[in-house]
Amino acid sequence: MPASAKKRFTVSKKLVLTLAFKELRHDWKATGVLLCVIVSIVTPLLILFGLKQGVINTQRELLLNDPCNLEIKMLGHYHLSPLWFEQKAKDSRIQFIIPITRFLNTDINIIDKENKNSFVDLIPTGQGDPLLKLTAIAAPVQDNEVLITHALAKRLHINKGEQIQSQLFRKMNNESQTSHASLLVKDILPDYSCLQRSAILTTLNFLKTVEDFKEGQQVDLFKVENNKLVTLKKKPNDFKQLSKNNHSFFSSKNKNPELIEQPIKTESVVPTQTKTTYAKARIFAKSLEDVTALSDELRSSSEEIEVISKAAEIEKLKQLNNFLNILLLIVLLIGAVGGGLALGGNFLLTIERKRLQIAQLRLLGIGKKQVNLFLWVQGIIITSTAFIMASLLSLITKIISDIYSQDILGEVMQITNNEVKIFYLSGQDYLFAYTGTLIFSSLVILIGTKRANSIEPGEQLREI
Amino acid sequence: MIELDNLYCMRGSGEQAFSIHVPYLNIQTGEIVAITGVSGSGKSTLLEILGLILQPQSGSLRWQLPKRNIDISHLWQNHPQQLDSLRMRYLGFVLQTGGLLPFLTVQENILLPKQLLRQGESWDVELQVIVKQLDILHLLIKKPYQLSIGERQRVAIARALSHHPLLLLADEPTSALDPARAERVMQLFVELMRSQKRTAVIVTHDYSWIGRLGLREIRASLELGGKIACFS
Repeated sequence: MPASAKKRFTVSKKLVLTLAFKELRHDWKATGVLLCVIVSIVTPLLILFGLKQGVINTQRELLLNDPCNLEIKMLGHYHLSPLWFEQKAKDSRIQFIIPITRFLNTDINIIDKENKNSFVDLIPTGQGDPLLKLTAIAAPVQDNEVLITHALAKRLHINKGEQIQSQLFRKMNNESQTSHASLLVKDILPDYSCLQRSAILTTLNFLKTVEDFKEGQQVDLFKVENNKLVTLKKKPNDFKQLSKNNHSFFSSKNKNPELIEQPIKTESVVPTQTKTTYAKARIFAKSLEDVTALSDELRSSSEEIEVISKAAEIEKLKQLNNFLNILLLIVLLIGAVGGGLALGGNFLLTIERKRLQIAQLRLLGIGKKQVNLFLWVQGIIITSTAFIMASLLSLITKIISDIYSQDILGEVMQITNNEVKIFYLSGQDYLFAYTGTLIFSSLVILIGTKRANSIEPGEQLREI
Repeated sequence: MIELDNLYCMRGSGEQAFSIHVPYLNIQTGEIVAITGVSGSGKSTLLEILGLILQPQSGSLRWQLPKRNIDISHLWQNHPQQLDSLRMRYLGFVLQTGGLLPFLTVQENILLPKQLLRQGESWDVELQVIVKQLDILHLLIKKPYQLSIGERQRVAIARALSHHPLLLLADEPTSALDPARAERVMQLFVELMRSQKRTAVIVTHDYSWIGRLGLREIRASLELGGKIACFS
């Protein structure tokens, strides 16, 4: 081949882009139809995707932000050893665990401002308790410090920082004995779904002291002095908090040999001896997913612990998520097949209609690669514009759903201090959807360019 | 400038097969040649071969340019993709219906071949003369659909010449016009070619003005019951 013929002219890409854009603008009706086809496919999918993400996330937020949903409640009484607690505290799926004494010993009488008696539950708490973490309430440290539930504060008109008078009763040798202690209300808990009763949250030590007292032991906190009110005296802290951050009580380094090595005591144990087992535990899982697994494990454990949790609701959420995923997939498939046929047919018809123009471009010396670029640019412009339009439409849907969700979820948002939405799509979600749309369009464009490649420049010459 | 030697090209197959044969054809620089013949005699097929659009089955097609010789037959066999570049650089086409791109204005259509060759968007003196001679200066901002058929053909001529091609190929450029207008456009076209010293090949079935304009005629004759057209 002569050397001179080797010199080839390459068409500027910028010129091809300009031609593609001008052609789209000129043929705005066909462009509009293609845009509408893509918008009508992508918009419902985006909205469905957004609703799916939003509903699931909202449900999740609601379940997650209510720490009660992470609680695994034990039914019945068991003999749970400190070793059992130690093992559970090490489980990475458990974020908080604390022993509870027997049911009969977990209430206390409160004397209100009008000298009326009210029996309230005692619940052990400590650092890391999820019920405190959400509202950043400090756990009681001293045994005379307590937190009270919203219901109790409301019922007995107790305010934060006030002192409340507690009273314990027991029968010893057929003689009724009473003891008093003054307790400082450090804080009042929010109105949690799992704490809608009158209850006092105390240190485990306090709860243990109450149990000891009721079982006839001599305790420093509640002393029997001719039924007179006694001032609280500080008692050495036998029990350390069992939060994940501080479960050293059960660690071998600090463990009390007396507690672990002693055999399980019966109820007639000598009053001054320390108990070695606990009836129950307050357990909080780390995540919603962990609740189900932990619940199942407790049930099938050697202790055969019967538990209740929100596992069923969580399972329902998962099922809803799966259902919405399937629904999304079905709509996606219908959209992809129907829309693909509509878009593909439309695109091929458009190429057929532009056959002479493509032949003319080829006649002018524009190669097949440049013609392909011309069509790709047009396809990408149409797809991107359609996606922007679909995104705007989905944003309008989002605004409308936000207005409605304010009505539906406003209260929830106040409690959880979190913004929850029915429709939600993140930037990443939009990017994911755009990529999908581009891949989908690319397949159609690819078919179109195959057709365009068969167009020869001579067709323009033979045109009548 | 262009030399065709014992060139054969067949279209279709079986009963529908139709061939053209060019024993020898030499077109000189500055020459205006009219290819004539009845309808279906392969005139456009020959134009497609000259326009590097259709590959002949056998024979030789050579370009003898001032500074280079190009064996087109060789390129067809070995580097067909280079033919697009040659067509872009050295050829200009005027088609029956103008073949203007509907999405560009008259000005953009005229300048497109220059832009494709990265010759810029400026109007050189020669192009200005062409536009003036063709009387299309007032049409520059219009789109093709706003023009009459005669105007479109004049614009198509300007576009075909804008990048100073070595060879201009016109396929029945006046067939869509009424006879009076057709002759005026053809006269203008030939005058322009001569004034610009351009080489042109015009396909036409209208013999009447060939003699009047003094063009060299290459006539297609059908042989073997119309199965083969011979150009001589």
